[in-house]
Amino acid sequence: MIQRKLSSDLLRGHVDTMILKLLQSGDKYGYEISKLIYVSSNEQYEIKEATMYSSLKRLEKDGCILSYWGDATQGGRRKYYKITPLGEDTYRQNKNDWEQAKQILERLL
Amino acid sequence: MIEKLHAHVHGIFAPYQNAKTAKELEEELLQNLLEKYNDHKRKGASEEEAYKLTVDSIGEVSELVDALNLQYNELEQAIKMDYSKQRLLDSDFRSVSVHDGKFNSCDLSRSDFSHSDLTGSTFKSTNLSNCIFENVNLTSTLFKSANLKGVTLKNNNYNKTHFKGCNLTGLIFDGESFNQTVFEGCSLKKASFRDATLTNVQFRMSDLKKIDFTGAAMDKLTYIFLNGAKVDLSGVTII
Repeated sequence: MIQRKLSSDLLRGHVDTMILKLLQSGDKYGYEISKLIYVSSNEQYEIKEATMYSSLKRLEKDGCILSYWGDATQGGRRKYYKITPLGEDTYRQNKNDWEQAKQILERLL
Repeated sequence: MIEKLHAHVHGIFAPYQNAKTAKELEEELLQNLLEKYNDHKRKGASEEEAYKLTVDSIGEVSELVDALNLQYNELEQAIKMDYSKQRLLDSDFRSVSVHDGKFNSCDLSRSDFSHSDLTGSTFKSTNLSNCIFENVNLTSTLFKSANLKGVTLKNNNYNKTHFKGCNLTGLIFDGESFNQTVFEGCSLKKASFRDATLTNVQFRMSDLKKIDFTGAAMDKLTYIFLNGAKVDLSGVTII
């Protein structure tokens, strides 16, 4: 259990980048994002709604993503998120930073 | 179970119902959770299991509230609130910050605006009877044909505040400071400006009968104008 918590904390710091990556292949709504994170992590990481929304709202405020309401489906509306050019730049920057950090950590740990 | 899910999500956002962003986030989160709940059931979970898994996936509510505040602060600064044509009697606007807000044609009787910042807001044909304005920033606020009967005014900032076509009969502005304030086409009959300070204040086409300026201080221009309008300025100091 402690192990799981640790890994979730480690991953949490990269949620912004995960979302930016997912949005590069097209606009997505909240549940779609959390499902893709779950599936793409081989069902190892299930993001909490609160964690995802604090990240989405932060990215939106920083101008990395935009949001818009889609048409109603199954009785409810979905809000979609779209990556901006600034978001694409941020993704590349974060990915570079991660590659560097990974190399350093691999030597140190 | 779906009803229970609705209630649970609503409970999280209940304290923030005044903010548009909270309502939107509530709708968004609920939609996600309903889809998630249905997926869990489709995969064979019982209603109870599906409900528990779904609610557990919300995570830390405090994190959600932080996301909300992030947006809410932004909203306050950027979006012009429009309260026009609404019945908002007895509303509590204390300490709110509404820049360039529109309160046109609405009934705000007995509302309390104390400590609020209403910079650039407009009150056209608004019913403000018996409202309380204490320590309010009324910079560049426009009151046009508004009903201000029985309002309480204390310690407000009247920088460039514009009163147009308002009935201000008998209102008490004692001790208030006015700077570049405009009273245009207003009835100020028996209004009291005792010990008030007036700088570059204009009284255009206003009824100034029996207005009381005892102990007031004003600059020369305001004085000359009021003197020309035959207002009794015997107890006034020129600054």
